[in-house]
Parts: sequence; structure tokens; C-alpha cells
Amino acid sequence: MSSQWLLIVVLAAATYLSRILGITVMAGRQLSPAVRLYFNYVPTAIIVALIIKQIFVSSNGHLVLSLPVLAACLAGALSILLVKKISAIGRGRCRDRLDCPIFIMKCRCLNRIYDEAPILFASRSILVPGSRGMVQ
Amino acid sequence: MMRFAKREVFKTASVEALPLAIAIAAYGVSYGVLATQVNFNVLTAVLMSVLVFSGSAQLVAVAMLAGGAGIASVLLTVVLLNLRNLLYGAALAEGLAPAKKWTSLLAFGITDEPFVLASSRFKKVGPDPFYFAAVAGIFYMAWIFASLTGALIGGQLDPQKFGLDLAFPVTFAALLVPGLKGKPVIGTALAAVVMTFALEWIKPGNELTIIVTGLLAPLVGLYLNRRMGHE
Repeated sequence: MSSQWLLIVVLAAATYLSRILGITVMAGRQLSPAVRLYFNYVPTAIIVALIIKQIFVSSNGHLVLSLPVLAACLAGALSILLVKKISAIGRGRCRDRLDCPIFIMKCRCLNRIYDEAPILFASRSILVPGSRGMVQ
Repeated sequence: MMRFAKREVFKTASVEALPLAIAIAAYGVSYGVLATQVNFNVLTAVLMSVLVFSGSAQLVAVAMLAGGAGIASVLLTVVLLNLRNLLYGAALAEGLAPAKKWTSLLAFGITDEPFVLASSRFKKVGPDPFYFAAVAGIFYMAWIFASLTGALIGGQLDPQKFGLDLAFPVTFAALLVPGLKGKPVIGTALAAVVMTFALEWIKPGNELTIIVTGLLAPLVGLYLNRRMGHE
């Protein structure tokens, strides 16, 4: 229990520090494009590592492929691709319906996400990975 | 006059933030449910959302805890994930500058979603800390209430019965797929697959796997990006 509290405090401090350092220390500095790209690729690498670690589980010192986890991952990925496709069709429609402020706004948001935000953000607007919903 | 202008800004912020707030809320419910599966109670699950306010960091943290990782490796991974906040902060600094002493408070709201909305707003109308505060506030409230809802629901469920043991990989697969665009990102992902597998093969259950992969796999993406630039 106390380790959970410690974890929360430490994570809160680390996360806030990264935010405030960006505003104070990094502001006005010209970062090389390579560093920017590196920062953007890091979440992809971490998420993949987390997935692979759950697909291949350690059993008696050996790696074992977990078929249910693999199948669930593939199902989740395919669902997202499907929803993304439908969402793209929706966005296409929105551009034709410029009289609808709600749809225009939503489209603009989605387009911005695809254009500017890194991977972690991109998925949220499309489908929130409701774990229970997908599993069921 | 000033109050009227602020009301207008708040209205604009609300309209622009609402669709994303709904998505964030649903995402927060997922976090709440997952947190309870790694023995967080309602209080600690929500407290994490209140104090950290970072969906990716929180989800990765609970997933790593579920896999038996220690606090040090969770912290290092979250630090890696948070590197992008440095970029966000640097990009938003000018737009938030008029807030002066409140800038430190506004810094707490720097996450993916407020960054996207605020940077677009700053491009259009110039510095507007009030807009940023409104947007970040809306997302913050959505995230906290959604986490609370998820934690309350999650505490009532049997993980095996409802397949919640599969929730983590599915969540991360859903996070990953939309961003897999372009050779460098796909190359990073493939490199991460190989590295993770190799590290786990050498030492199953290795706590350093995620950190080492997070540090090294992006170099492959950078290499591919550079090669594409020269083609």
C-alpha cells in the first residue's frame, strides 16, 4: 500500500518536472529534428515492448507464447483499424457538410490529431480502448 | 468587457474540447478498471489521476506493475514517455507567457490533448493562457471523474470472468495501431519487437527490457528516417 503511495508521488513529481522543464528550460531553444523525432518514436517502442512482454510470458525460465493474448491483441488492432476506416469515411462526409458546426469541429480536431500529435494521442479520438468492451 | 471576452474564450474552449473530453473520459474509465486489477483501491487509483494527469504514463505504470515491475523501472519508463512533454512545454511557452506567475500551475495541464488544441489556438489568435486553462481544466475533470467511474466499476468485477486479464495487451494494441504510419515508425515498432523478444529470450521477466527497448528501438526509426531523407 505504501509503495503505491510512493509510486504515485514519484510519478507525479517526474511528470510535472517534465512539463515545467519544457516551459522554463527548453523554451526558446532550437532542438535538432533528430531529437524531436527520437522523442516521438519512444512511446511506440515502449508500447510495443509492453505488448510483446505480455504475448510471450515467462514460464519455468522459458518463453511461452500466449495465444489468447495474441488473439486479443490482433482483435483489438483490427477493431481499431476498422473504426479508423469508418471514422475516415465520416470525415470525408463532414467536409461535404460544411453547414454542420459539430461535425466540422470534430473533423478539424481529428485532422489536427493525425497531423500534429504523436501516437499516444492519435488513438484516443478514434476509439477509446475500452478493455471490457473489447474483451466482451 | 474583459469578463465577456473570457466567457467567449471559455465557450470556444468548451466547444473545441468537448469531443476530445468524451474520448478522454472513456479512456479514463479503462484506466480506472485496469488500476483496480493491480490492487489499487478507488482512492489510490483516483489520486494518481489527480496528481499525475497523464493517461499514457498512468496506463504504462499500471501495466508494468501488473507484470511485476519495480518502482524504479516504472519510473524510468515513465520518464522516457514524458520526454515529449519537454517538446510540448517548449512549444507552448510563448503562448502561456502572459500568465506570468500562473504559468507553473498551467504547466500541470501540459499533455497531448491540450497541446494540440492550444498550439492551434495560439497560431490563430496569439498567446491565450486562459484558453489553455479552460481546455486543460475540462480534460482534467473528465479524466478524474472517468477514473473514479472506472475504479468503482473495476472493483466489482472478477478479472478472469470478464476477461480483464486480456485488457492490458488489447489496450496497448489499440493505442499502437493508429500511430503506425511511415517507415520510421513501423521500423521502430519492428525493432522493438525484435529487441523485446531477444531480451526476454536471454532473461525471461527481465525488468530492463522495456527501458532498453524504449531507449534503443527509436534509433532504428531515426536511421530509417535519415535514409529516407537521402533517397
